[in-house]
Amino acid sequence: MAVPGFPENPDSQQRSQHQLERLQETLNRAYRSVPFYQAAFKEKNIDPLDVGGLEDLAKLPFTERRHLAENYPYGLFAVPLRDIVRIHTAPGEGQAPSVSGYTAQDLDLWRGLVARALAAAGVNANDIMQIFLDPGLASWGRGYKDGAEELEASVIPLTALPLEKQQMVLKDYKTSVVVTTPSSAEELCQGLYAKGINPNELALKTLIFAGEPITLEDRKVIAGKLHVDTWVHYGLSEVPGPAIAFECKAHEGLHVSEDHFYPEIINPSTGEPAAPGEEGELVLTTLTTRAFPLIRFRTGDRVSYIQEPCSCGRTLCRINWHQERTDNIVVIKGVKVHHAQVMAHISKALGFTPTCCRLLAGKKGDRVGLEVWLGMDETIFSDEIKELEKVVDNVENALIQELGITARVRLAEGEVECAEPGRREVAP
Amino acid sequence: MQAEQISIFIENKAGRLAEVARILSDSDVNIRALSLADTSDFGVLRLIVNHTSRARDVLKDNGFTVRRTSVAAVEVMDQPGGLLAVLDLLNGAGVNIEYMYAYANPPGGNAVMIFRFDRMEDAIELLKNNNMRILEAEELSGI
Amino acid sequence: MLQIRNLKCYYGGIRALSGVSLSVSQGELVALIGANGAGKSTLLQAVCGLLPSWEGEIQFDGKSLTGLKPPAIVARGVSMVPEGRLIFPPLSVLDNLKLGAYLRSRQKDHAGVQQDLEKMLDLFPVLRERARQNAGTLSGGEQQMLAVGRALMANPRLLLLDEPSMGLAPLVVRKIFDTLTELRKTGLTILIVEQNAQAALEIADRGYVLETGRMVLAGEASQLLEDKEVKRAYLGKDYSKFYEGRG
Repeated sequence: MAVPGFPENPDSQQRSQHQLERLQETLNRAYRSVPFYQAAFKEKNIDPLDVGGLEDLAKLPFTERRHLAENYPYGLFAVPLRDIVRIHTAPGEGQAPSVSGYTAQDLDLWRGLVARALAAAGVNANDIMQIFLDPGLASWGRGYKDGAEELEASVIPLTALPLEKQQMVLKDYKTSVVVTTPSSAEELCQGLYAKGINPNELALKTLIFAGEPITLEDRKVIAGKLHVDTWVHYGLSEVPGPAIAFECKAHEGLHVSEDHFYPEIINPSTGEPAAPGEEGELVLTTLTTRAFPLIRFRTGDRVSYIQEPCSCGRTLCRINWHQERTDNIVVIKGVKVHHAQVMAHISKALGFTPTCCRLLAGKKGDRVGLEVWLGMDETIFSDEIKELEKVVDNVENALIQELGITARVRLAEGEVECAEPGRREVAP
Repeated sequence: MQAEQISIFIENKAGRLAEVARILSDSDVNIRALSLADTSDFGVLRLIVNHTSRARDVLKDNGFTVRRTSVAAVEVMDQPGGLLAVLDLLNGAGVNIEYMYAYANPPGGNAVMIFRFDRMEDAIELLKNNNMRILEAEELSGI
Repeated sequence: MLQIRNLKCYYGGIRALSGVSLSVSQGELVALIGANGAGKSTLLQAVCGLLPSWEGEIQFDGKSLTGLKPPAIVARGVSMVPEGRLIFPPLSVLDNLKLGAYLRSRQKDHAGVQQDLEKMLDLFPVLRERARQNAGTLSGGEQQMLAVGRALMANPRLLLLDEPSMGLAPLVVRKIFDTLTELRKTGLTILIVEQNAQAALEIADRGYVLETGRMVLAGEASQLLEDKEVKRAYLGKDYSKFYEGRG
C-alpha cells in the first residue's frame, strides 16, 4: 500500500523523514489523549517535543503487555469511542484480556498492510484463499480476509469447521492459498496423509505461515509434503496485524512495514539497543494507527536485523525471526498464552497456587495444545487416584473454558524442572 | 483402631518403584503390605511399613511427595466367602470402599485386608460390632 | 523537495512551534491546517527566512536554508503569498507583478520577465483588464490573485500560500483554489496554510494538522476530509455553513 509521502521503496532519507513526522504526530496524540502515556512520559520527565530525531525514541519508556491488561478495557484508546468502529480482544496477561480499538481509517490501513504482504507472496485475483487458523486468532482471520479481498482473491474466511471439513474444502473448493500457523499446517498435513489424499489432487500452491516462527527444517518438510511454496508473516495479537512484517520472493528474512511501524531491537535484560546484527527483542512503535497507538511495545519476540539490501529491491528493513522468546509466553498455534495468565486460572481451578508448574507447547492426541506439568506437592496429592484425576480434569476444563486452550495436564514428581521460560518444546 | 499407611506419588517411568524400595531398604524399613494404583501417566504407591515415620521422612528427603492416611486392617477368614462376609456387611450399611488390598504374610492363619472407606469411623464401628477383628497399628507394623 | 525536521520557533519567550516536522515532495500540493494561533504562519515565515531565529532543520532540494536571508531563499526557488496579500496599493497591477520579479530583473532576465508577465495576465484575465489600475482599487479576490501572480513572477518551484482564502467570499475562494489546482498541474509544488480546512483539503494531495505548535496528524487529504477528529475540530459547523452553496 502506498502511504502518502512515503514511496514504496524509500531511500534512507525519505524513510527517516517520514518516520520522524509520523512518530512525532503519534507521540503528540498519545500524550494528549492517553493518560497512561502522559503519566509514563512525565515519570521519565520527557515531553514529546524532546523527541527531535528517531534516535531520541530510546529516551521513552517501554509499553509492556501488562500495561494493556492494567488499562482494561479502553484505557489506551487515543480517540473517543464514537470514532471506534471495531473492538478486538486478545488474551492478555493475568486475568484481564487486552482490548484494542480501530477507527474506520485504521481498518483501511490494516487491510492495505495485509494486502501488501499477500501480494508479496504472489496472491492475486485468481487465487482461492482459505483461512485456517485457531479460533483464538479470529481477529487475524478478519485481517487476512479483508486483505485478500482487497486483492480481489476469493476468500474462504475463518470458520470453526473441524479438520476433516477443512480438508474437504481444501480439496473440493480448489483452494490455492492457505493461511495458517505452522502447527495447524502440520495437523492439516497429517490429516491429509491419514485420509490418503495425495497433494497432487489439490490446487494448493501457496502456504502462508502466521503466528509462530518456524524452523527452516520444518518448513522444508511441510513444503515438500504438500508441494507448496511457503511464506512467513509476522504479526502482533494485540493489534490485528498479521502482516506487520512479511517475506518477499527472496525468502530471506521478513520485511518490516516501516512506514507504519518503527522497529527497534533491544537487549531484553538491559533494555538498551542491541548491537547491529545482534539478536534481541523486537520493540515496535506504531506510526499511523489512530485509535490504539503503541509506543515502544515490547513484543517478546526474538529477532535480528539483516544488514544487506534485499535482492527483491524493497528497501524496507529485514529481520530474522527466531524461535525463542524473551518473555514468559507460550505460543499455541499462533495464540499467545502468558504464563502468569495460565497460572491464574490454574490456581483458581485448584483453589490454591501450585508450588511449581511448567508450560510447554505440546499435543493432546493429534491436537496441538498446551502441556501443563504440575509439580506434585502435599496440597495436591491424594492417595486416591480419582482425586488426582479430578485435579487434572478441573485444570483442563478451566483452561478450555476460560482461555479456550486445549491443555493436557500432567502430574510430575516433586519439583518440575523449569525449562527456560517460554521455550517451545514439543513433547514426544 | 486405625492403621497408618503412607502413599507416595510416582511418575510412570522406569525405575521409580525400585527407587522407593531402595530408599526404604537403605533405611532398614520393612514393607508389610503394598498396593500400586496407576494411570497411564502416574501411579500412587500405598505402603504399610514397620516404621511409618522413618519411611515417610526418608522418602520426603529424597524428593518424593508422601502422605499418611488412616486405613483399617481387617482380618478375613481364610475360607470361601470370607471376604464376601465383610463386603456384604459394609454394603448393607452403605459404606463405600475407596480402595483395598491384601496384606502380605499376615500374623496368625487368617488373611488380612487393608481397607480405605469413605466413612472410616462408621465402618470400623460396624465391623467391630459384627465381631470382625481389626488389627491395631502396632500389631501390623511391629512384626 | 522541502524537508522540515524538528522546527522550533519562539515568539518572545513563547514557543510557537514545538519540534515540527513536515515534508513536501516535488509536484505535490500539501495543506497545513490548524486553528488560529496553531503556528501555521510561523512555519511559513521560518521557511522564507522571515523569522529572526529558529531551531531545527529546513532543507530545500537537499540544501539547508539555515541563516539565509529572504532574497537568497527566493533565489533558491521558494516564493510566498503572504497573509493579507500585502500588495502595494498605490502602484499599478502591472508594477506590483513586476515587483515579484525584482531579482530576475536585476539579473537582466527582461525577456523572461516579460514572458511571465503575459502568462500571469493570461492566468488571471481580470488582472489584464485592470493592468493599469492602482492595486488599491481591486476587490479582495482580485488582490489575492495579484498576490499570487506577484509570487509566481519570481518563477518559483515551491509556492507557499498563507491563508489565501481569508476574508474572501466562497465563490472567490473557489476561483483562487481552482487556479492553484491549475498551477499544480503545470508541475508547481505548493504548500498552503489554511484555517479553511475544507477548501484546502479538497484541492490538496496531502495534509498536516497542527495543534498548538505540535503536529498531531498527517495523511492523504481525502482521508483527512473524512477524519472524524478533523471534522470535529476543523470542519465544524461554521465551515459547513460557509460552504453550503458549493457544488
